Amino acid sequence: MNGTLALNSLRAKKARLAKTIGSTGYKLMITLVVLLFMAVGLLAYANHLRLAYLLVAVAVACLVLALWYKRDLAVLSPEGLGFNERLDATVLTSLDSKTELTAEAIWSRLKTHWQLAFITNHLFLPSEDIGHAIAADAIKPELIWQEAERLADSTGRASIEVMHIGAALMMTSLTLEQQLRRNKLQKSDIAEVLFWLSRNLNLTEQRQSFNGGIGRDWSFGFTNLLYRFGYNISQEVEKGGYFSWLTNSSGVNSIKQAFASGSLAIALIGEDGIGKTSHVYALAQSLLASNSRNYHQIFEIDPSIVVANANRAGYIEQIVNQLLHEAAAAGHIILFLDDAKRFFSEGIGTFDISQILLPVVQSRALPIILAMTPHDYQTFKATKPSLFNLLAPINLNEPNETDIIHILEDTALGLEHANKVLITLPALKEAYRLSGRYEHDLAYPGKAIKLLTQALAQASSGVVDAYAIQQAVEVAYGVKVSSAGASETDTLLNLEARIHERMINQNQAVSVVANAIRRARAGVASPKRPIGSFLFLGPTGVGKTELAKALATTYFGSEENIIRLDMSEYQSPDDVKRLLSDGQNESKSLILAVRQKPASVVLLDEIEKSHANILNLLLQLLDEGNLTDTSGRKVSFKDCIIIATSNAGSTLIRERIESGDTAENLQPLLIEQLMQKGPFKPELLNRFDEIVVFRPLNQNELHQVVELMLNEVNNVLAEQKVSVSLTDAAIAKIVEKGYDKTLGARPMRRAIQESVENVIATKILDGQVVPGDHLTLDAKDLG
Amino acid sequence: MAMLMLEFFRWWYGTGWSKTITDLRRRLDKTTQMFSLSIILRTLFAPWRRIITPPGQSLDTRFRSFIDNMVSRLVGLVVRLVTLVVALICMSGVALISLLVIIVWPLLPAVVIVALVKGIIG
Repeated sequence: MNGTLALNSLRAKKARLAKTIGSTGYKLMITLVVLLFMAVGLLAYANHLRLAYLLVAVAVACLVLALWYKRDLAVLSPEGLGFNERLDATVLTSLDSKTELTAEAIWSRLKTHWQLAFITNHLFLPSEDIGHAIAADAIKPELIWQEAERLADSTGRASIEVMHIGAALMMTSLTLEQQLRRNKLQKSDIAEVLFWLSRNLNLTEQRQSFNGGIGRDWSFGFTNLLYRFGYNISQEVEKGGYFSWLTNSSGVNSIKQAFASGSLAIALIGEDGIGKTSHVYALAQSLLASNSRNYHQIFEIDPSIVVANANRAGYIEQIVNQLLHEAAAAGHIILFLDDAKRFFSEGIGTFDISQILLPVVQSRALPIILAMTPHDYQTFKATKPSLFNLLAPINLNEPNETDIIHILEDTALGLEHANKVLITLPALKEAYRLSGRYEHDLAYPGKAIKLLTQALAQASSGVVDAYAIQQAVEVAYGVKVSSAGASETDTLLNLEARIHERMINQNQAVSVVANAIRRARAGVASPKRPIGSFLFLGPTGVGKTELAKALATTYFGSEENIIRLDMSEYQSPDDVKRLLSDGQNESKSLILAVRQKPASVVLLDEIEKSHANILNLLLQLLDEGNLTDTSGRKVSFKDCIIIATSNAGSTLIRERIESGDTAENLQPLLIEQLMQKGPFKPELLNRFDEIVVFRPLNQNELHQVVELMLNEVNNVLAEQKVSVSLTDAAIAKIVEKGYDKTLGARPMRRAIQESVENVIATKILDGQVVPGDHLTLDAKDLG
Repeated sequence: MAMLMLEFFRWWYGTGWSKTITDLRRRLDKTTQMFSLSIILRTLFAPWRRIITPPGQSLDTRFRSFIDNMVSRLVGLVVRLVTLVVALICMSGVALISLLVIIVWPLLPAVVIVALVKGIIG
């Protein structure tokens, strides 16, 4: 381009004339033409020929102008490849040649156009802010025109439209770049929304009308039964095809090639959510658009309707037989069995038609598409080998990230229209990212679409943004993915104090765990590994399990969010299977538990007692943040805190602490000893974020433990308006009774139960203690 | 203004006229498609909605199925022939209107001038 905008060109004048006339002017002219010709008729009848001629002149002049407007001025097609020859009428009429064309002025004139509103809304950027940023930069118009021309070329549009000029302004502004960064956006996002809009405009303009005329189906058979027990996908697509993005995909092309090469029974294989049904819809659209394959109609059979209508034994087989016969006789039917396993197994709402279908497939009487998952396909291979051998398999793979975002964009437009909301581009990207992390039952793009749909309920003021997606994830999976709010920030910053409300001392252990959580919530920790992984070493009854519980309560909201496995139950090589079971046959599966509660504390008690194979499994878990179950599906541990506890080295710990050493000093020595003599390989120890030594509790700490436990008792008694306190002598007696050198403070709870709870229970039953009473127990009062 | 007038005449006798001819041809094609002319001609003698009776073993059933199928074909032929006749009438109408438009199109600006002159001079 030559770098100038020709606003006085003939094209610009035509655009302005078109704007002056407008659609109202056009309608007026056409009405005038009709009225004038009626008047001409009357005048001619009344023999006023001169006036009639004058009216004919006016009427024909109006008609000619109206035709010029409708067929040339209003459409103003590009007249060449030059910049000015490609400029869209709206751009030409919006910009004024009388005022100076600064970047700010251009933005101000164009910002209200729907194309720019589409871009700014989907980036969720106020157009005023963009205007300020553009004004601050004083971008040269020549640069804007060049960029707009480049964008028009790359989006495949013949005209240079408002969206190209607007996007060019945004792309060339350096100040806006900073603003984009503050909103977690980048310039490529502007281009992405521009491509989103252009792609849909291109599709709308290319949309073809699908029909073969009134006689299309006359040479094909009636399909009354198929309409009763199924659903005509082609007819649905004919009303409005929304699968243009998929009609030229490799999957649809493979199906067409398979049909063309003579395979009439196709197994469409892909994980749930990968888009098997969408591919069949796209195939229907593609067949209609190309008028190929003899105007084939794709019918989906609904097994639930078949079952609902089968009111006597053997009736299902009869219906299916009739359906297959009707479809084959019609001559233009492709039968689609979605989720095909429902047609090949006996159960509630399912039935087995393999014996009926086999001769149909063998005789090649009817094209059939069976949609199934890879797992179902393998089952099919084992259970229905005869039918299996006749199927031509077509595997659908997950699309790449770019394609998934495009699919989400197209889906979002439908959701926006149906739900009267706005779905921003960051929301789509967040849906892609978070569904990949948390949704393991579906493949892309289905998982991202599912999350996007769930997020509609979280829309704030009609806008679904990245935060709404995060909220949807938090509701659906119980994990924390959005930025910490004020209350959570307070909890995080005071995590140690909160944990100490239910735990005595062990400051180092509490501190490392709290730091790990703060790192994860601030987004500093690696997102590819668990939030934190810790090996707690120390004798029994020093608070290892209690810390795990305190963490689950303080951070994950409830003690329920702890997955506790006694690793002494996993001592044989076969136990690996139990641990990794998909849950169908094993209720104590770790995989199942994490799938149900992806944000949890995973407590692996007495890890040293588990089999070496399980320790190897732990290597993968700590390294990659996921495990693969026995069905081959991955489960993420990236929102878990992994805590392994062990008594290994307890004797050394006790001896050194008794001799006056500290837990911190003891740690290197203990790790070295564990590596040399202990049950753990160095590679495992190195993978833990921290190895924490818990030291035995001293007398003073044991007193505090009793007080903590007494608080719990008082919490229970509060319902009966009764409270209890202990004298120092009573506490000392309980410590003496509840402390064991080997078991630590573990027997303390039983001691409280026997010494305090039993006494209070008796007094309440005797009537010695009534609501409102406070009881102080001395050593002699204890049971 | 003069430039716009010139542009109008350039378009009217150039792109405008040729585009109109193309559009009229497309309309004729659409009419052909609407009546499924190519399909109807290809399947003129085909049985109506594939309603056919499979031939049996005996001579009697074979004869009966032959008669049935002939009736089906006859029904198909009649429906298609009627459609064909209606299609031909419609297409002739469209073609005639198209021809008129093509002829009248270049004359319209002249009509304005002639009618104006006639109206003023008498």
